[in-house]
Amino acid sequence: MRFRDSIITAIKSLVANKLRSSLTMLGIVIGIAAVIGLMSIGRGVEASITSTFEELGTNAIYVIPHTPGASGFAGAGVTPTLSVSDADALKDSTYLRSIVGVAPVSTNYGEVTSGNENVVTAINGTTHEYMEAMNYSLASGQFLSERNVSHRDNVVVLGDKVATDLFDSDDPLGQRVKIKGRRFTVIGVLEAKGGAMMGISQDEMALVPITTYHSRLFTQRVATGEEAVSSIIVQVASAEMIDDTVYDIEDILRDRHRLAFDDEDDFVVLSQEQILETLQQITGTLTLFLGAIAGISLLVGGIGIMNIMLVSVTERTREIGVRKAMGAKRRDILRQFLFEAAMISLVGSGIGIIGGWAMARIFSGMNLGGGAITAVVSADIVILAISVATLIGILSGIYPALRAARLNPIDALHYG
Amino acid sequence: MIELENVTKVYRMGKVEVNALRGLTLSVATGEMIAIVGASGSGKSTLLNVIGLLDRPTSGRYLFNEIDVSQLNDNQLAEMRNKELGFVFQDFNLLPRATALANVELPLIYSRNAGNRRERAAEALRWVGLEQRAKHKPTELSGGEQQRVAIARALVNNPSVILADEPTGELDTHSSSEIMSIFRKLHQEGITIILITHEVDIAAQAQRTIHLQDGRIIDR
Ligand SMILES: Nc1ncnc2c1ncn2[C@@H]1O[C@H](COP(=O)(O)OP(=O)(O)O)[C@@H](O)[C@H]1O
Ligand SMILES: [Mg+2]
Repeated sequence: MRFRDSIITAIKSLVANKLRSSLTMLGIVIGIAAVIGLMSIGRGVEASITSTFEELGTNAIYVIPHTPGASGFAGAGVTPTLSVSDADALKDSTYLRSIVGVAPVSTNYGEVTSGNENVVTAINGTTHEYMEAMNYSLASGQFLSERNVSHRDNVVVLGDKVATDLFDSDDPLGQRVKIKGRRFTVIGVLEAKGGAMMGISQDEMALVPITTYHSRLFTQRVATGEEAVSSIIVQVASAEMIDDTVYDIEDILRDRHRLAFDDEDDFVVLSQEQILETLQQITGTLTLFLGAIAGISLLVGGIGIMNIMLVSVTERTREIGVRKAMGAKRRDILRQFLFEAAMISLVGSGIGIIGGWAMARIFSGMNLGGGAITAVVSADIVILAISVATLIGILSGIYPALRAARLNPIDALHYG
Repeated sequence: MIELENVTKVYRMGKVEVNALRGLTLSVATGEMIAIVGASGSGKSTLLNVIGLLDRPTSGRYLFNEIDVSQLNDNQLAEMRNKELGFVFQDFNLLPRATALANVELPLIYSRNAGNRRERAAEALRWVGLEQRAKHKPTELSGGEQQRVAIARALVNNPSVILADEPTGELDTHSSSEIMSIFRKLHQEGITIILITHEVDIAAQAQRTIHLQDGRIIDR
């Protein structure tokens, strides 16, 4: 039997059983759509997190409080252990020449009001060095100055969304807002950025001098009574110096916190790279996990094919007998049923790819907790999905096809 | 053309052995038309299946065109069935979802010599007088017409032997005589015909009648 005839025979018998063929196909369609859709979304999340992070100053090091004994990020930021004077010490340290800027940040949530409008947003107390360390830029006005910090000025720089929520299209510069009952003058508005990083969006924050923050808004103190900070952002002169600087910062802070030789750090020092790596690890696992779930549905689809093919072989026992009497060889019958199974999964995965692509399109631009994601249907995912589907099609078709091919023509002819 | 020598066939069903053929010797010359008769269970179908290379004898020798078929593997048997043999069954055994024409074409898709399949199938249908029914499915045809399609399928690849197992068993008298006249016509074309029947007047149309009883040929 010619190859072409095997394919035509397979197609004809699939077409003859349209309903059954399409229902069987549905399993593969859903499986493939799920694999492609979910993995693309996973990749999208991965990509958006990576790109948000890469936009930040590349030479930044983050120091955040950490509860000793807790593992990983679990203990991060729970107990305040870092103080403003820790930040000052890093800045003043003479042997840390690699440091070009130190920005302590204290964070809390609060209401910002202007007339009848009010917004609940992150309120960050920080210094003039913050903007450069975070790689932010201004849409209008100016950033907090060194003078603002030293004078405990009641000035605020607003994120883009906070500014529009409060003032619509009016110019916010020079306007008064109230935070915790105190008046602040808007001196600047940050450039809109969209997106967010771990729930922190540059568009949704209000920045005030850290001195003002501690004296007038929120009092947070470390165990020694000093004013606490949520994090210290250290900017390093060049990327090569980052690793050394991380060690130096650890030394200085351990010394300042009077930690004994075998005490654990009560803070963590993270370079941009480390954070990125960790996040990529997390999102990579997420993608894999989504893929595995989708893979299970593919497997179920494959079992569906096998099931239907077995039924089909039984149902067509007589047909197989007739074909054998007419001169069909084992391999002709084997091929016919294998092709049927392969065709189901091939057409099914074709439709599934379109489905998965549509799913990715729908999720693209959705805001899933973090920023808007762009789900990317990449070739490798598609190739992976098709190979898996074809493999499943062949594997699930081979047993029924073998059963069909092995039928004795006499028994088959007299069946039923 | 067909030579059976002391052929036996034993079916084993678990511990029970059924001797369907008990040492059967028979030779059929090219172009003969033979009827096989006998009581139900006497081994007629088993004999026809052995002759038709659908089943292998348990012992004995079978020469088809001077070839010892016990030496052939399954693929070679399949090829031989395709090239040399045509089958007609009592219950037609047409593929229900295929048209008459597609059914007739079936042996050709398994044939090495598969050129002009459409035309050859149409020609075979014309030969049995069903060219008008080429596009019909088996369910849209009468029993007699279905059997004619089956005969067209049996002859489409120019076999040397056509084997028929009670081909008129499910047909009325009129259709039966129609089918039998087709077989006689095939016989006139020089094709060897072996058919199983219950009916005396059908057996009478053959040149020779073989009586089976309990897996043996008996003289009458
Ligand atoms: N596949 C089989 N397995 C077991 N026994 C069979 C099989 N085919 C036929 N037989 C037995 O062999 C004997 C001959 O059967 P068969 O050749 O079909 O007779 P007939 O066609 O003359 O009615 C019967 O006893 C039947 O039960
Ligand atoms: Mg019988």
